[in-house]
Amino acid sequence: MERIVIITRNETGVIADIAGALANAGVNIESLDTERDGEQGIVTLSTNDTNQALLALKDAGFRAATDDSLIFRLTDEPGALARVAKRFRDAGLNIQSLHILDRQAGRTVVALTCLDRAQALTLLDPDSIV
Amino acid sequence: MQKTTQKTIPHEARARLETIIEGFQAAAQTQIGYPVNQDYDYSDLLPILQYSANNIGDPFQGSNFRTNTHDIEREVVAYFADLMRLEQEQAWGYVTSGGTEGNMYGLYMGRETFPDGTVYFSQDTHYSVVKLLRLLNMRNIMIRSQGNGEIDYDDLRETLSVNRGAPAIIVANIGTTMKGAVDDLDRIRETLDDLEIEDRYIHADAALSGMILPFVQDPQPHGFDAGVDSISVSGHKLIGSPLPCGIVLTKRDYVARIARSVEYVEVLDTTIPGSRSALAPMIIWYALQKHGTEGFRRMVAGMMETAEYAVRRFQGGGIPAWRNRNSATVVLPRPGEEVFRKWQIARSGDIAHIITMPHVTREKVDELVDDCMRQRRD
Repeated sequence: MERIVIITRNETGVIADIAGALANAGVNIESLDTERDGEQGIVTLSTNDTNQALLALKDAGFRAATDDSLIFRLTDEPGALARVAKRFRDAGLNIQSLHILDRQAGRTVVALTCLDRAQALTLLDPDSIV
Repeated sequence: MQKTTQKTIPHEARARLETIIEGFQAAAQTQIGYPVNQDYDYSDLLPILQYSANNIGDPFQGSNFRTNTHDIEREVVAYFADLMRLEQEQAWGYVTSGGTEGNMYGLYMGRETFPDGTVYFSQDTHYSVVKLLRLLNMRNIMIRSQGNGEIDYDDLRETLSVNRGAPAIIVANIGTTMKGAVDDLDRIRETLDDLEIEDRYIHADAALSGMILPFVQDPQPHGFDAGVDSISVSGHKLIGSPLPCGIVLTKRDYVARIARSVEYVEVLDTTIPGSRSALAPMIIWYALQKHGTEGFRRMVAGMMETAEYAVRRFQGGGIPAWRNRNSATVVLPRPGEEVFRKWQIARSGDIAHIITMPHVTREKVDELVDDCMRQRRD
């Protein structure tokens, strides 16, 4: 089942806002998990219609990504992404894209895409993966 | 020219047209947050609308489609080549559908030059670059931005050093969308030099500031003399245009790499689209004739003065607004919804901005500041 990861603020009412946006678009939530990391909130959910859910979330002002990318956290400091890139290079795995999704309170949430997702997972700290 | 069809549109359709125009007139009064100059009059160009003009193909190659404005387009390219410090003999470019097409051309050129290259761009880069990277299937890594919107040079260096064996394609911002920040091309070039990365291509996204920096006293490096290989500037932003348009410039030697023959019109088409607007080059050319370099210099000076005035007015009202050097983009904390209902202001996360384009007067700034202060009190 395809997951949607939403990077948001750790604020009261965010889940209600997400649920409301999806309900208004006629999308059913099938599973939902939340994680808090300081000021950052990460909501992971699956729905009966991923494409429609992404559109609805975007319209409601949320930043969402899907399992097309590997999403993980890093310390927010210069060179943090470079160290990830080095690990991949040393393993001979090409990164197709490496994007910052969010930076808050010393933490960065990053989305990475590459051809071999399974190998990529072995190169990341399991605790960092969202 | 004799027309074979003189039929007009139904009454209901005319009423709808009038409604649209009235809506545009009303919306234009509160447009203060987007970089479009609304102060123009192109009515001299109206007769051209009677003709099916088309600039298909390379403006430097000629075309069998005779109602074209390639000669005008070449003049526009020549003017921008001077602005961007590119020698005329080396200059090639064309009038695009807007900044995004210019960015696409620059990335395309980078990919054709270095098919194994990785693209580096900052967090504050316009979203269209990410879209284009996906479209062009180019490997890419986002670099952190500093608080003012400029690329984080330490992060760039670290990331480049990891991949120093691979060609680097850099997208540098000459005026970011939200904060008007200018990436330091000298520092980027020095970093590439230090890391001995010789296979490099620098594309500059100069959507708005490409028409600002050439006209200020002490500009940041922004042109071909600062090492860029291609540059995209918007035409509908500072110049002002009723339709989106832009200019892409690069070096003539590079263009041969992507030359493709389009036999049926007997042109060597090195542009991205097939049919292209013949009106857009006319609009830009008309504005260049009307204002001239001195006119744009005055226009930009006025924008900077209004921007500085806006910063002072916001700060005087307790609102911590700021702007980057040589930027007309005034960044402020995101105001409440009431302000957005009245004004067309761009917003992103916790911030919003106004851009003091020529049509934005001090009176409009005063009114906006008063609205923001009232909303903060309430």
